[in-house]
Amino acid sequence: MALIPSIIALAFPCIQGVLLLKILEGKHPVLFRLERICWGFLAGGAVSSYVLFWMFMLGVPISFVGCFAVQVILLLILILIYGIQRRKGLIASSPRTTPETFRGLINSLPRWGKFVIAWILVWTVVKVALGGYDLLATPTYYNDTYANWNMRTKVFYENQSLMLDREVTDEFYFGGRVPSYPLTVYFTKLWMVLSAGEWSEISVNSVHFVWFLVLIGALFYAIRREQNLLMGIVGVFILVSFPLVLIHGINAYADVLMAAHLLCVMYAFYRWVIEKGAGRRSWLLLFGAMTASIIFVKNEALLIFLPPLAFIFFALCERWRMRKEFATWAGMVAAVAVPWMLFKLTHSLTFGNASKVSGFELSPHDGVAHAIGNDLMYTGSYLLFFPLFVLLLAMTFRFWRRNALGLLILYLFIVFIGEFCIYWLTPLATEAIRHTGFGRGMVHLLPAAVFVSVMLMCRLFVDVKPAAGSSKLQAPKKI
Amino acid sequence: MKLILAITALTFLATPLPAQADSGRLYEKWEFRTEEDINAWNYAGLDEGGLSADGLKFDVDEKAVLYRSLPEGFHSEVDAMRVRYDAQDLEEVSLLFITLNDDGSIGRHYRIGHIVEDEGTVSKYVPLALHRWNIRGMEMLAVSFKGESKDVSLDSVRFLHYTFPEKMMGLWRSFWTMETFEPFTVNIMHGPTVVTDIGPYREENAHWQILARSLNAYLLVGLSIFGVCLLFWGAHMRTHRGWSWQTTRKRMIFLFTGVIASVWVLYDMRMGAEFIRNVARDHIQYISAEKPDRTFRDLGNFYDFVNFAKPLLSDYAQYELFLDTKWPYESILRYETYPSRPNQKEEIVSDVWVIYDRSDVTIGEDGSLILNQEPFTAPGELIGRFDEKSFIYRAIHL
Repeated sequence: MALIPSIIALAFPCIQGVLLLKILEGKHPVLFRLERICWGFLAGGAVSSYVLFWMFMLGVPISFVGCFAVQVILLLILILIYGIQRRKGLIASSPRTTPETFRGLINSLPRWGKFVIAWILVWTVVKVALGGYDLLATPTYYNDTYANWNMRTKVFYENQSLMLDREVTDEFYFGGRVPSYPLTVYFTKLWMVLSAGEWSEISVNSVHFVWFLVLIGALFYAIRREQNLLMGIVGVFILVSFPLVLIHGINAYADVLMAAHLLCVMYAFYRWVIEKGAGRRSWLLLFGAMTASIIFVKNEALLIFLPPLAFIFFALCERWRMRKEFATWAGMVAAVAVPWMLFKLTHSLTFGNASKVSGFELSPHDGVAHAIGNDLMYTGSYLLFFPLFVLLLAMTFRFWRRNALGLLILYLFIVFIGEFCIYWLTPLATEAIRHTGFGRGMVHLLPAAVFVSVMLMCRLFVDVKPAAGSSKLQAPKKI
Repeated sequence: MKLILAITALTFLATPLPAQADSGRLYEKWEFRTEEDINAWNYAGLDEGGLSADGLKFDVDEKAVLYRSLPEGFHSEVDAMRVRYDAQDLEEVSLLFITLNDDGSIGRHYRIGHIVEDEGTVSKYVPLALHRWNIRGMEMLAVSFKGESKDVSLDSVRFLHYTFPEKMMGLWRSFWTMETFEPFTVNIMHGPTVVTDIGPYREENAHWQILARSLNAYLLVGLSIFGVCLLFWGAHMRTHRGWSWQTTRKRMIFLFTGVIASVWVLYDMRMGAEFIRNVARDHIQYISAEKPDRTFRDLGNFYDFVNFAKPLLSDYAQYELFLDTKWPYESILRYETYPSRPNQKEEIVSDVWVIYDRSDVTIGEDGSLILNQEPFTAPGELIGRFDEKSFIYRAIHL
């Protein structure tokens, strides 16, 4: 029974997120309606958690009344801004999805094609649905769920406090376990259980399934926009066919949430690069909003994902003389990153992943390269994806080296090399050798890698469909 | 109808058969029955020994090694080994595969170790399919005993050979051997493996999948060969049939991606079947099962115990835990019973004791908790009993 009020509670961050994105898109909405709900759920979760955090710091009680008041006020503010903007004619209706319908797709396929599509749809839906059932009907089982993601939420919930009055060395300081972690996951769950009125495993675990569906939706719409409905379905099929992604999708770990955020960040960046029309500024603001929100999801954002992204974006803006765009993006990111980092610095919270990286001595560790190679090539976690991805990159090199996709590939490559170096050169090597942290890092990258793969696969057969301009890497005209 | 028959046949073939002990043909047997058998071996760290009904009996002081040349045709004919010994009180018995340098010193070596548990005479099965890559070219076999003990015995080393159909059956079984949901599943999933062994290696090697060769290795090699063949085919068609480069390229890509897509779909079916099987197992064994028989994955009835314990512990800030192994039970209880939590320090701070799955802990006549006939708490009272081996107890005084 606790599930129903929890699901209703989730509507708050979702609506907040949708409103925020609508405001940012302004007169030139670029997201499809359902796509905006997916993105809005991600952005809204991060924004409402961020606001809740500062409100708690200012003394708002950690109770249902306190949270409810914050959620309602935030919602009202966004509605107000949205209303004013709309009255001024600064917000327009969303574009419709492409006229291509599922029925039309089925009719256009040969008989064997219909069978294949039916198979991958049914198979994918069955796996996801059964996974959801398993998540909701079984107890919390995996270590990081009961030791961290749910535990820290429970500490906030039971104590109705951020526990910052404890000693830094106290096991429950700022919720305990990994106190340096940002709070989106914990506060989304906290809001759900406060709404449910009692601690409920189903409530706190169910949101992970929603995040998985959001990831699927975001990937589907991204591919559909760039290619077509059929390739959108194929992309989702590929993503759900990764056993490790499926396991993470139906368990209470935060890596699928991180993956969904990262996909949106990368896709918004890609669209900003290739967009030549009026929607370009919308993509820029979406890019900024999603990058800002990723900072409040997991520590990896600040350590691994943000620096190369900022570097590539800065280099591109410099080359294209678009410093104002970079400043806009950097300002949005800094609005979240700077206060959060200052808070961490002033409260003795570390920077890094689960472990702080500042004190590490750098030296190569034997066995890391072998373990990582083995993990990527010779396990069932990702089927045959990584060697085939490398092959695909090689086959389409002449295409993507001068294409906006090349920027995404470069980014994925830098992040991968960065992660490899972290495991190879620091004591985190054990996480790669023992196959713990490394696989989860790959889960972050896989949806974006699937997006790139589907785009390149399509390129193998036909030219990539230009959407509102060519994706060839060239400086756009000033709007 | 054909489809139904095909699925039925596939299901039948996919069902792994129970492992058969020593199902292979005996290729060679090394026993200790006569003086001649003793003389066939070389010895290091072993001064004297004698024949008995259990084979060669000897004492081990730190380390003793018996070694001899591998049998003729070992690398091509032998697929598994079975070593029978009694090494009670020792630390470890290991098999060493060795190559010798020209001067007689040890060159390469590869070790397969077995931790000795108190088990008397044991017969260890060694599937060479899991070690084939590492033992290639080895010339000698050594059996090494480490620790200190008297009356250690080595009875025999048997070399087994499997026929081609047996190997294929073993391969089929290993392909369809599915992992269950384990604590590490969230980090890595081994996926299908290729092991041409039909013996009981799964039962004797908990982590055999780490040693087994992944199906990926074969698929990647197969796809590479196919790709190269396709290039030759394309070149042939351009030269002899006059196909244009565009046509050739398109057809090659279509064929190549078609084969990859087929492999991908089949692989996904294999991994998806594993996933669905595990969800079904959760449903049968836990979700729809009745207490007290229901179990959850590798944790048995622990979650039912947790649900039993939670309300009983809610009045106490901390409690002491008595378990066989701490992880993951302690962390799960810490989460589930929070704000009440287990004492994780050495010193005892609570008078409430949570005993889980410990048949050796009982409540004595005076009401204290007893372990090895020794009371270790003050007299107290039983707060609640979950089953014979699990209960919650409160000592009246610390």
